[in-house]
Amino acid sequence: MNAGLILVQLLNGITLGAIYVLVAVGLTIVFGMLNIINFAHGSLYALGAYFAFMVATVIGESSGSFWAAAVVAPVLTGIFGAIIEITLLRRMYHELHEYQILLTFGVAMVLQEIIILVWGTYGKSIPMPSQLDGVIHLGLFTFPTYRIFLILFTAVTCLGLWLMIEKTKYGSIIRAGTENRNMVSCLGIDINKVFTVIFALGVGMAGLAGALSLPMRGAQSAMGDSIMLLCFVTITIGGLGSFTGAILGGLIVGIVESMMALVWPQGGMISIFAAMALVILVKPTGLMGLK
Amino acid sequence: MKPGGSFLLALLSIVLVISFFAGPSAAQEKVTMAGMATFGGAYVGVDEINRAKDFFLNEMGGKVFNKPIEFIIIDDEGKPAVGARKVRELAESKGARFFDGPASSAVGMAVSQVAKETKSILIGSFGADDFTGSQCHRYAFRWGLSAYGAIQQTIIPLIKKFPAAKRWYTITPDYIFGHSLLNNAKEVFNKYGIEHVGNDMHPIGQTEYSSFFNKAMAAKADVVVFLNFGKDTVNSIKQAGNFGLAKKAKLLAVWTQGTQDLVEIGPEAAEGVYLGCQFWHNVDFPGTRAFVKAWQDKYNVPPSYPEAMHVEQFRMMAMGIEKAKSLNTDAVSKAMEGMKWDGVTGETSIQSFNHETRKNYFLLQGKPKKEMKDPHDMASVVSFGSSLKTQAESACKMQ
Repeated sequence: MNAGLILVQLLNGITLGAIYVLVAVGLTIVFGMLNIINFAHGSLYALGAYFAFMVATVIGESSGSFWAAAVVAPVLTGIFGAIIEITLLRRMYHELHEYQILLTFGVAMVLQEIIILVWGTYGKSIPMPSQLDGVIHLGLFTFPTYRIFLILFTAVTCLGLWLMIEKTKYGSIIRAGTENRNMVSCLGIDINKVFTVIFALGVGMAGLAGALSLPMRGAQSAMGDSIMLLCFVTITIGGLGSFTGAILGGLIVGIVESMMALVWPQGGMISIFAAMALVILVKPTGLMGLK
Repeated sequence: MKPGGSFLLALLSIVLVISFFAGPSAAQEKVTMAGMATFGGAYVGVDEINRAKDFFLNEMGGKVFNKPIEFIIIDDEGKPAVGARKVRELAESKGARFFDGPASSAVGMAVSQVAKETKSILIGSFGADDFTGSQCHRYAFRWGLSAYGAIQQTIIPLIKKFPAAKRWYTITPDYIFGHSLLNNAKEVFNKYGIEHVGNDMHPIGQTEYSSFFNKAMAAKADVVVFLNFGKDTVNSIKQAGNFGLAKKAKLLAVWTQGTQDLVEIGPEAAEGVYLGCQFWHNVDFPGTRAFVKAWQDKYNVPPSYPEAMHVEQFRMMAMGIEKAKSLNTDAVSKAMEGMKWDGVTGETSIQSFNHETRKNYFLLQGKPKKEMKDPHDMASVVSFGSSLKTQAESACKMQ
C-alpha cells in the first residue's frame, strides 16, 4: 500500500459518495419537507436508470444519446413521482408514519416488478458517452474521466438545488409550506401543488442518480435495494432532514466503503454500519441533524 | 331429510368416492419434475428456466415414459434454507423425485442433502466441487463442469497463450463457489509457476469493484481473473472497462453465462476480455446446431448458457427415465451412469464413479464491435475441452 493508492481510493470514495449524495439529497428533501420516509426511493432510482436506458435506446447510438437520457430520465421519474404523490401519498399526510412506510414499501415492491415486466430480468447497459470515455493518468494509476465528471456534476447540482430552495421565491414557498401548510394555503397558494413539486423534485434526484450510474454500473431490477439501504445509512449519519447532512453523510459512506476495500473488502458494509452506529452514539440526531 | 337433500347427499357421496379412487391414480400417471431458479438478486434466472421448461415440454410433447409431465418451477431465493425446504415440500407433498439444480452452490449443496434423504434425482451445474466430490451420492448428477474443470479449461490455456504473463490477480466472491474456484486456481498457479500477486474477496451482489482494480494495478498484475458469476461478473467487467484495466492487463472471467452476460456488459467493455462458459451457441457440433436452430425457431434469439443448461438437464432426466423404463430413482440413477449422447456442447457422457458429465467447456474472447456479424456474435472461441478428475483424484466415494 502506498500514498498513491490511498489517494486514488479516496477519489474513488468521493465518486461513490457522489451517487449516494444525489440519492440521499432527494430522500432528504422529501423527508425534510413533507415528513415522509419514502421507502420507494431506491426503486425510483432504479426506474431512473431504466428510463435512461429507454431514452438512449430510442435515440440510438449517437454522441448525444447519453446527454438526452440524463436530462429526460429524471424528468420522467419526477413525473412518475408526481403521479404517486397525487394518487397515493396525498391521502397519507395525516396518517401515522407506520402507514406511510407500509404504503411506500408496497410501492417499492410494485415498481420493482413493473421494471421486470417491462424490461425483463436481463440487466441493461449503455456505453460511456464518447466525450467522457477514457481515463486520466495519475502517475501509477488511472482514473475514469466519467467519474471525475460525476463528482463535479454532483457538486454543481447540489449547489443549484440549495440555491433554488434557499434563495428563490419558489424555494421560500416550499420552505414556508413545510413549516405551516395551513398558513400558506390561507395566503392563496395551492399547497397540494407545492407538495407535489417537492416530491417530484426529490424523486427526480433519485432518477438523476440512476441515469448517471447507468454507464458505470448498468441497470438491474434489484439495484434499488442496495442503494436504499446505503441511502438510509447516509441520511442517518448526516441527520434526518438535513440537506448538508445528506451531502456529508454520502461522502462519508462512499469514502468508508472505498477505503475499507484496501484493508478488508468483506468488511465494507460492516464498516459503514459501524460508522452509523458510532455517529448515533455520539450524536443521535446525526452530524448535521436537528430532529 | 327432504328428498332433495337425500339426492344431494347421495350425489356428494358418489363424487367423494370417485375422487378417492381417482386422486391417487391421477397422481401416479404424472411425472413431477421441478426446476430451481432464483427469481431476483445477483443470480436471477427465472426467465431462462421458464423458456427452457417450455422448450423442453414442447420437444417432449408434454410426456416422458408415456406419462404427462407436471413441471414446477420453484424460487430458491438464493438461500440454502429456502431451497432445501421447498425441495423437501415438493418431494413429500407431490412425490416429486426429479429436480433440476439451482444456480447457487450454497443452495445446491443444501438441496443435495435433501435429494439424498428423499432419494430424488438432482442434476446441477453449480460450481462447488464437493457436490460430486466429497459429498457425492447416487442421486446427484452434474452436467456443467465443476470449478476444477472450469479453471483447467480457462487458466491453463491462457498461461500457455501468454507465457510471459507471470503476475496474476484474483477477485473472488466470498462463498463456497468462489472458494472452490480460488482453491483450484491456486493449485494451477503453483503447478505452472505463476505468482499470485493478490486476491480480493467480495460479498455476493457487490456493486462496486473499482477499489479492487486500483489494487490490481498497484500490484502490476499481468492478468486479472474474475472468479465470480452472474451480475457480479457483469458489474466487475463493465467497471474494469471503465477503468481501462483491459489496456493494462489481460482480463479473464472464468465462469460466465455467455451471450447473456456479454449483452449486459456491452461490446465496448467486453472487447478483448477472456470468458469461460459452459455453452456457446456458435460452435460446429451437430447437437449444438440442432438445439440452437430449434431454439431460435421458437424464440428468435440464440440460447444462453443457463437456458442450454436447463434444457440439457431436463433432457438427462427424461433420457434416464426412458432408459430405465421406470420412475424408480434407483433404477434411473443406474441407467444414467455411462449414458452417452450428442449434447448441446458436443459429445457428452456421464461418468459412473462420480456422476460427472464429460462435456466441453469453452474459453471465449470478446470481439471488437466492428467484427460482430450479428448482435449475438460477440465472442470467438479460443479453445474448448473437458477436464474431469480421475477416480483416483476424486474425493467421491459413491454410496
